[in-house]
Order: sequence, then structure tokens, then C-alpha cells
Amino acid sequence: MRQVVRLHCSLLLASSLLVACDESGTGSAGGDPPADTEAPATSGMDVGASSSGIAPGGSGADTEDGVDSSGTTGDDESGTDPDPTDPDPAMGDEYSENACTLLAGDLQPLQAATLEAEASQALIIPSPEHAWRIEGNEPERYVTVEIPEWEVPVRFFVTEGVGVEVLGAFPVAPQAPMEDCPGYTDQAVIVHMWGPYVVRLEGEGPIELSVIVEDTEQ
Amino acid sequence: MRVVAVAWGVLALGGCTSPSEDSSTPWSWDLPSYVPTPQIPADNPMTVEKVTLGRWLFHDFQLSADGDRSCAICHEQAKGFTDGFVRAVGTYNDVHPRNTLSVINVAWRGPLGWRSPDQDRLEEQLLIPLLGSDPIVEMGMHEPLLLERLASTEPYPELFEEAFPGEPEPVSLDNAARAIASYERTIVSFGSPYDRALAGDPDAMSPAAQRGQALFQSERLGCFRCHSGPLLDRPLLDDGRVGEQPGYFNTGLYDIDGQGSYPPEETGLHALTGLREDMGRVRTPSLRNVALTGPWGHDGSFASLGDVIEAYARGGRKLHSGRYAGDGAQSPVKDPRITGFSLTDPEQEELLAFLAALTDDELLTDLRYVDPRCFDSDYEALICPESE
Repeated sequence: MRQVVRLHCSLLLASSLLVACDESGTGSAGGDPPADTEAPATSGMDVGASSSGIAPGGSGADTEDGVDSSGTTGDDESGTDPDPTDPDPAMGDEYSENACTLLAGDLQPLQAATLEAEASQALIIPSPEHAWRIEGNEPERYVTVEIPEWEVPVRFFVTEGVGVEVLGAFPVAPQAPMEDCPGYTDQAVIVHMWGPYVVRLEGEGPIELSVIVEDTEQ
Repeated sequence: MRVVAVAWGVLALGGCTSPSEDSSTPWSWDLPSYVPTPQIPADNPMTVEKVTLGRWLFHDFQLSADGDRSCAICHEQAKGFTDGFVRAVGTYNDVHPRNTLSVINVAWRGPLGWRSPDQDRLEEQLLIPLLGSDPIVEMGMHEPLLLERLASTEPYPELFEEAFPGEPEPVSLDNAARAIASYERTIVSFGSPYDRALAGDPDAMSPAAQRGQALFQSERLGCFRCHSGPLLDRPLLDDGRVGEQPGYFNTGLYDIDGQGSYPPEETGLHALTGLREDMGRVRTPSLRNVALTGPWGHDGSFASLGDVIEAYARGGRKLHSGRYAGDGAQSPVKDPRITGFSLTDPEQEELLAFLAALTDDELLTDLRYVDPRCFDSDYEALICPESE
């Protein structure tokens, strides 16, 4: 399993803000410390809001055994501009190939919520080994994707015609058809810190969904 | 480069201390007058040396098998010593059935978990996330691997010797657990506006927060009945005393079958006893720093504190959609005190202002809880160096 990419930030002194960041981490003073990070505080009274949307849409399913992902992709600071050196997701890469295989296989059924505040009932851990079928016919459905990584690109592959918006994440490129996997689209986003992300899926009918975290350490 | 030279003694967390005969330095608590000194296990007295060691261990990613989890990463200072997840995700991406509890003021907590009344010894409880696989693998560590890593990594051999002087083999799992538990007990928060108000500062809380406190303590809302005591996590008994033990209540979050059932992933005390009347009963959490510790609820199913208040106001939560849709207000097994109340929008804002006044902002940046690897040898600067 890959290690987490962490940004190790720290505190504020006096009344302003903080301080040192360490890309590495806490590992250990001597050994081979894995990088670490302290994600910025998410204080406040609400969770999972703000948006970074893309096209509308989203879906998810609940799994207890998510796995890690693998792969590569651009990772820009702001998270809003695609890296020109990255391959065009629409042209296909190892992640889209993986997703296409998953989506052609057995899908895990999942009942999503139709209200954003109820999205935690449908919990998904990104996985290169599982994909989901979001049941129902409501035009707007919500799931929560828990991403246990920092500063990573995450790919959402979903039934064509379904809009995907990952609240709190930053789209890397517009949602685009998968040329090597007809009937599906690819939406890549960047998440800066680990945590739960509510995903809005817009589109009627069953929705097929694969969520894979790219492996930035490859 | 990741070498950090540290003045060990200076990094110790405490205030006034004095050496004892066995060379260990007893811990000195600095608490408000209304907070009792916590009960510490007799076989693990607090010492500065153990706390120092525990602080290093708490922040060390080597404590997880794959090096991607530390205690601190899932009990993050900036998030009120929680992780921000709906439900915790382990090192192998398994999903925990419950939301991560804060370790703030854990020295006073008593029973430590959401639903385990008998689990009150921190030295034992912390072995579950460290080594356990039930309910999920969290850190995935194994004792031989842990001891191998600690024995071969500076500054641990020296820190273990200082923390457990005279022991022939101080680097042990038990001692690591004692040290981490000692450190966690130093994560103390009594510096909120609410605390300053208790100490006599009439302007510590905003007027809105003061009105919110009055609502909190009113018979109409009745929040105080379950959230009393210094940590706001103990029931108020009929005789007016604060209960010594926390309460376990079904607050009407779910009724997925018309019989009050909770999602099978987590049914509260019912999972331990099998009794229908225990369905959904979970421990009342502390409200200190509650604004920092979302998502809320034993399973992280509340996305906002406003949603929490609305659920109490209607006498139980109604889920309109999803696989657990149902009206918790109709649950036949919810606590009879959850009857609902009227609350205007301005009153809700005032109640939220009071809950925000329970936030100890200084705790979030208190250097005593920062990874000790981040300081220079004079303990003057945060330098958290890059590792190659």
C-alpha cells in the first residue's frame, strides 16, 4: 500500500498563522519516516461543503474494503489548471483502463441519498478493485467519498450523461467522455487533504461509478 | 534532512516539576479551580519523562505497519484531535463503524469509547487502534515490528531509559502504551471563552453566546440534562448532582424499520448486550471544542451542528432518503427525554454561538502538542525539516 503524501504543517504563533510545513513527516527522527502531514484545520460548523465543481453528478457506494490506487497524474498547486504534460484523460490511461474493466464487471449496489445532508449514508472508499451501481431514478443523488490521502488526483468514472460535482475538491479538467470506454465519462479532481467529500450526481436512472485515487508516488 | 536535535528536557510539557528519588520528574497539573485533578492509574503515574516519550510516539508514523498512520494523524490538533472523517479509515482502507472521538481531556473521560462502558483504561484501549483488527485494522502494527523499530531509532532508546529508569528492557509494548497514555492525558483544554466566563470574565462570551448558554440550560431545551459537568458530558441526576458516569442514550437518530433499529454497522450498546432496549444507545460525548470535531454523531452522520440541533428540536432525526431513511422521532426505543422543543432561527444561532464559545482556540496552536521533531535544539523555532 502506498504511503500517504503528507504536508506537515503546523501552527500559529501569537495570533497569526502558522508555520512550518514539512513535507516529510513525522516519520521518525531516525528511521525512515514516512512523510507526514497535518492537514489544515477544518474548523467550523459544517462539513463537506464548498464546492469545486465540475459538471453536476456523482454517485457512490459503500464499501468496507476499499483499496488503494495506483497511477499518476498532474498535481498543480491551485488544483484548478490541468498540467499540460499530463495525458488527456479522455484518451485513456491506466486508470481509465482499470475503471473500464471494473465497470464492465460486477458492480456493488448502493442506495444514495437525495439530500446533501444525508450523503453520509452512502460511503465510498476509492478503489481500483470495486465499482458501484447507484440505484434509483432521482435526478439528483449524493454520496460521500472518504479519501485517505493528501494532495492527490482522484478520478471519477461515471455513466455518460451523469454530471459529477465533488464538493470541496478542485477539477483538473472538464468532465469528458472516455474514448476507450464508450458510455462513460471521466472527471479528474484534486483533493488537498484527506477527509470526506460529498459528491453530487445529476442524472436519472441507475448510475455506474468507479472512483480511483491516482498514485502520485509512482 | 530530517535529523532534529532536541533538548529533551526542554521539550517536556509540564510546568513546575521537581525530581523524585527515582530520578523521574512527577507531572504537575495546572488546572482551573473547577476542574478536579484526574484519576491516574496507580501503576502508571504521570512523569515528565513518560510524557516526553509519549509525545514522540504519538506523532510517529512508524507506529503503523505501512507508515501512513500515526496517533496524531487521526487525532489532529487542528481538528480538535479528531480526523475529520465521517467514519475513520484504517491503514488498509477499511471503514470503522464509528466516528473518531477526540482525545481532548481524555484524562477525565472515564469510559473511553462510544459504546464500551467497561473500557476505561487508556493504556489498554490504545492498543486496539495500534495492534487490533476488530472492528478494523487501523494502524496494522505488530509488536515485534514495533519493538524492532523503536529499539533501532533515535532517540527512543534514550527516551525509554529516561521514562522507565532501572528497567532492564525499557523498550517494550507496555511501556510504549504507558507513555502514549501519559502524553494523551496532558491534552487538556480549559481555555475557551466559556472557561474564561466561568473564571469570572463577564465579557468572555459574546452576548449571543450568553443567550445561547441560557437556552442550553433552560428547561425548554434541556441540553444540560445530558451535557453537564466540566466536560459537558455527564447527566444531571434528579438530586441535582452531576453523574459520575456518562450516560448512554438513544437520541432518535434512526428508525429504519419502524421498530427503532439503527444501521447494522453500529447499533450502540445493543451490539454488546443484544437487548432491544439498548438499540442505538451511545455515550454522550463532551461538547468541549465541539465546533472543531465534525462530522458529528457516533457515526459521523451529521454534517453540521445545525442539523444536530434540528434533530433534537423535532424529537429525533428524520432521514428523507437513502438506505436508512426513516423518522427517528417515532422510534419506540429512543430516550423518553428526547421529546423535541420549539426553537426560532435566531435562537438556533445563539445556541450555535454558545457551542462555538466552547472552542479553545489556543489549544489548536499550542506548541506543547506539536510533533517534537519540529523544533530546533533550543526549542525556539518550528523547523519541521523536509525528509528526503
